Amino acid sequence: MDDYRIENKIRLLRFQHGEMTQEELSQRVGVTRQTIHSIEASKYSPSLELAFKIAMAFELPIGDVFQYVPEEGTPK
Amino acid sequence: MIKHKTEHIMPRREMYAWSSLGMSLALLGYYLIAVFGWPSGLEGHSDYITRIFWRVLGIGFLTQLLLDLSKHTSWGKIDKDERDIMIESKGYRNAYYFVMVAVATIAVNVLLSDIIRQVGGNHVIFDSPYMTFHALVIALFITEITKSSTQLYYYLKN
Repeated sequence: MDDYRIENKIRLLRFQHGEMTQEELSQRVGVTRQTIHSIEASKYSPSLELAFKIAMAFELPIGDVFQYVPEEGTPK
Repeated sequence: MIKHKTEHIMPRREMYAWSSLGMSLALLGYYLIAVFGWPSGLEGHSDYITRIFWRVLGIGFLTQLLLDLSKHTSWGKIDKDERDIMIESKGYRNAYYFVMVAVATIAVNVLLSDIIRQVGGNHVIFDSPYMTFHALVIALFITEITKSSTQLYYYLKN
């Protein structure tokens, strides 16, 4: 279980939701734009609460926004 | 195309960290010069360097004041989020490590000063309460610098 990481589809979902900007999403979920940017780039893993808030902003279940996937090169 | 915001305003907490780092460095420099005097090569530039210290202090103070005053505006509505708190905690953790090592080093040196003096002669650094006080003040400034630098490292890393 060590070689797993959190991926997300926030960038794609923003595009599908009226080309929502990072700033707009950050205001909806109550964080800074830089935090959304870091999450999108998989450089920061959000708390469970923030992950739920982001999923709610897109009106999707959390599993459709965030995925826990094996690192590249790790046997599945 | 996915719409991107073209403006890249620095996070408020990163501004705090930069201003805090600048102010701590300026104060430390000012303190070192006040206590130990100007190094021989820099005496000729003392006015210029002192002006820089005051400017850095002034800019840092104004930045922090503006950030505090803007908390109730739309820009300052989200002052600190969970990522800022995580980065802040890493800064405090490293500052704590530093202060523990610094205080322990100073305490051991003070406690062993008599023995060191008897055995080795002139290897005691903090041979007076005056020097111990300065060492503690310098450690305090470096602790603040450690905190701000750690925070900036994590902000710039992302």
